[in-house]
Amino acid sequence: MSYRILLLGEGAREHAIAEAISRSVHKVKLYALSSHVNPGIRDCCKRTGGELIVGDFLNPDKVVEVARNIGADLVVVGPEEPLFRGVTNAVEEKLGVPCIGPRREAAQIEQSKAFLRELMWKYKIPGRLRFRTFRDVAEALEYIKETGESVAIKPARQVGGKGVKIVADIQAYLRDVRTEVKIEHVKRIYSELSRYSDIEHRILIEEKVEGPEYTLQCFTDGQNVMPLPLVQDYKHAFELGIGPETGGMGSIMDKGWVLPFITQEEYERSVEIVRRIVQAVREETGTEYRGIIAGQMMLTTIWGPTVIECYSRFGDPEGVNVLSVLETDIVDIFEAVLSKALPKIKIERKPVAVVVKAVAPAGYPLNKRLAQGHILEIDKEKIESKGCKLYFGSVHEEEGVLKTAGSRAVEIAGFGDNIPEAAEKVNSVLGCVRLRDWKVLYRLDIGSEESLRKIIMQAELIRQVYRARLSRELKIYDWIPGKGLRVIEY
Amino acid sequence: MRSAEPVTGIFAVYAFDEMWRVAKVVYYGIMALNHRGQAGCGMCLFSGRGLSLLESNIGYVDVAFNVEELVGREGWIGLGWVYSTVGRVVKRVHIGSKECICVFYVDLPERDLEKISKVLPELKRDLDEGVEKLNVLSREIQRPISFVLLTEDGELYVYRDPSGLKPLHVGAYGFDLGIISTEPCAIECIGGDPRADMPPGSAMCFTKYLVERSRVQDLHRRKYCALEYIYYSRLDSTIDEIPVYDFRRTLSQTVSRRAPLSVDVVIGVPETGVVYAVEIAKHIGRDFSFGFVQTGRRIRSALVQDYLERLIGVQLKMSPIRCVMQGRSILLVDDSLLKGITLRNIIQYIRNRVGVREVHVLVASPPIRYECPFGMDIPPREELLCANVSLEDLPRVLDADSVTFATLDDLYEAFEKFNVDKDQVCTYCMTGRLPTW
Ligand SMILES: Nc1ncnc2c1ncn2[C@@H]1O[C@H](COP(=O)(O)OP(=O)(O)OP(=O)(O)O)[C@@H](O)[C@H]1O
Repeated sequence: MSYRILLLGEGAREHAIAEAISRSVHKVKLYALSSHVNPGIRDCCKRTGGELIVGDFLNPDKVVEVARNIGADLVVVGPEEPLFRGVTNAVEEKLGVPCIGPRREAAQIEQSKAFLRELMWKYKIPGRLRFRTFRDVAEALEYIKETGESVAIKPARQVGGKGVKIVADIQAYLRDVRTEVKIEHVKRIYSELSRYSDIEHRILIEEKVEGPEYTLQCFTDGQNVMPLPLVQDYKHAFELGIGPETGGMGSIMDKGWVLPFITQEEYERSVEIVRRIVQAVREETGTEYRGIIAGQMMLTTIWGPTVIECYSRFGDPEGVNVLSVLETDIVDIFEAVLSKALPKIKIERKPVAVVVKAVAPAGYPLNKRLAQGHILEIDKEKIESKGCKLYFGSVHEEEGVLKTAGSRAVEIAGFGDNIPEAAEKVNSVLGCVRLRDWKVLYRLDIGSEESLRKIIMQAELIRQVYRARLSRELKIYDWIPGKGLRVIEY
Repeated sequence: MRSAEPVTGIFAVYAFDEMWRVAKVVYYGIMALNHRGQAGCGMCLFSGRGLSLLESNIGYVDVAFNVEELVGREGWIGLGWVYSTVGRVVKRVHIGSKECICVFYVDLPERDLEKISKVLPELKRDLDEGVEKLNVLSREIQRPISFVLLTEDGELYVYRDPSGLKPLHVGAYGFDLGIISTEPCAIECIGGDPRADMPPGSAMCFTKYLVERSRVQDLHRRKYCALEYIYYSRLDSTIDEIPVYDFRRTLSQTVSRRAPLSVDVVIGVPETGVVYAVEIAKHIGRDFSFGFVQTGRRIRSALVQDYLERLIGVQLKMSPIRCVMQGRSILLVDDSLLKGITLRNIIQYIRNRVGVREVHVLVASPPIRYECPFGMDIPPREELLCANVSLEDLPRVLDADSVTFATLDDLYEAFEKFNVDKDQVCTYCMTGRLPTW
């Protein structure tokens, strides 16, 4: 069949999607709607006879207009924000054109962390965490002052992967210092979120957990869930897991379906969790979830596989790991998603480990303004000579010159027989991405044997604890002298 | 004359979010390193308006600082230290026109300090080039010139010299803090996660928007300080991938071959000797027992300077538990023998006042005869027992029935179990042999 596909978005993830689409055996014309010119996406479009259109893809009316103009048969939504704005709803309702990417009601699983947590509790889905949500700041502050616990404090609405503060608060002797940090952070989130009117709660405080994280990305047609290989994303800006939260500085995927530190059983349990979330979304909202859903998971001592958050799209960079070696025709998968025929698809991928690393301008992630407008110099040949693939991210091309747009500028995927080998490949070409008179930021440590060894050890410890716990009961007995026994149920 | 005294423990915190007030975090960090030095402590804070320096010549961190007062102090970057010899420890250096506060693990003469200062601008411009130069310098100076430096505009530089004789560990706390510490135990004490040892011959630089690690390392000349593992570090630390407790257990095993078997009970001489006593007792099939109770606060008396003060310290920590010793033959296990005052006092006391049948001594380190040129706090040579008294006379001086030491081979054997070659162990204080640079 022949298709005109409109892809929304402009990052490395969308570049990888565009590339996968352009590899399709179907006759496809690919168009992209982006707010700036990502040369990678543009070239993929051109190759198929389509083009990249510059415009505001967050605006549903704009998307509808472009989709109509190009006569799109299918709209593929890369990032989450258009979903939250109801782009899928608009395109489906106004044009009758199907979308890969859930409707706004279903995208709430990502948009509102409170929605996801409530859903998981209501439907008793395993892997849930204790949490509280707050509408106003005073209430939240009071709660913080009286509890003093290790918590994750988050904006209740997704604001583009920032604003999460993880405060370990076990040491009573440092409680005052941490309480102050918690308070300041709550105030900050509160004022930041005041510009969004699409949510009820502003602040979410949940228990802090620890353990190796991994991302389980799946296609779903609303009924069936088609899991992809596990990927692990590295959030800290700097090497050794130091520094502020980023969208992800790199990610690793093994040549099989699990990661070296996750067992097959844990993988299956994670898939089951995602399946139940999709089902709960249908029951709760009456909408079928069509598109990509990803569980950002953590192996914790409470449950083993535990949900940290859900994505309503591919992870970035995690999507690149999978898409760069996907052998099944992605357009076939899209068709199956739309016709509820996912079980007929078999996901094939090259049997290699994939490591993706991002290169960002210094300044990212805390001061994106500083990170903007630097001229990029890339030795693409050398990157490709090592068998690596280059994906353009937050860059735009102006009269033949590539400039940084403030976030992760490029992502490079390397392949190998195992993760450290793939990581080495990428490391050997990270120096090929430079900025004129400005420093870049990347992480050599991701995927190293050393770092894997540590993660495996940590996972093993956690596994022992959660297995013992699950074999007993899912309750925590909390005893504070004078306050009696508090039984925490899950 | 020394130009300035070395520090013995370093702890630094760098908050990426300026809302943090880290003074109290630093306070607990250096408190967790207090075992390394009790002659004084200090910290330096950066709050966007230059550096503020808090110094104290009181050795106990909790006495030196008033926590209540610290809580409110501004500053999201902090550098703290403890030291073990009275004097000034902080050095002021410049990078360009910027003033910096810098701490070293060794006392460096002015001329060496100047050489290092000259490299600093380079380190700032290009971390790798700076490190290369420092690595060359360290070979020239032949001392462990590791340092931590905080600039008045809030940049933190950390350098670990190629000898690696002095530990430096890197850690993190959530998305908020980067941490540097002599021992990982201090990182855990403040709720952070130890991440890795700094590789010898490498540097790190923390600036507002970038944390860089030098790509340059120099792993071929690395050394391990024997005393660091024998008694200096805390039991809950892992230094350069060797868990300290594990090391001491292993050393106990090798040393236990020399233990006199006529004894009934094995007692650790407070408090670092206890680990060895427990293990040795197990290996020779004798009872381990606690032998003493301490009055007042913990003092590591070997590090106290004044003789009378030392004696007071010793006596306060050695109230004997009579019923485990009376009429029996006991083996006292100590981790090291420096001045020997503690041991001598203890033995005389239990002989005369408690009434033991025999007292044997087993020391888990070889005899220590030389002052450390690399900043490890060892009393001057004229005060070292083994440097001034022959091994033959030792039992008489200590009033013991026998005195046995670990041999160098025991020590090397223990290190070998952790894949450390004997050439890599610095034993200057025992042998007078300088390591090769
Ligand atoms: N409850 C928790 N306990 C411990 N760590 C957590 C917890 N929640 C989140 N984190 C950490 O914070 C990171 C970001 O959290 P989360 O994914 O909820 O936020 P986000 O800003 O929406 O991120 P993203 O960029 O992935 O969308 C996680 O990857 C995890 O490392």
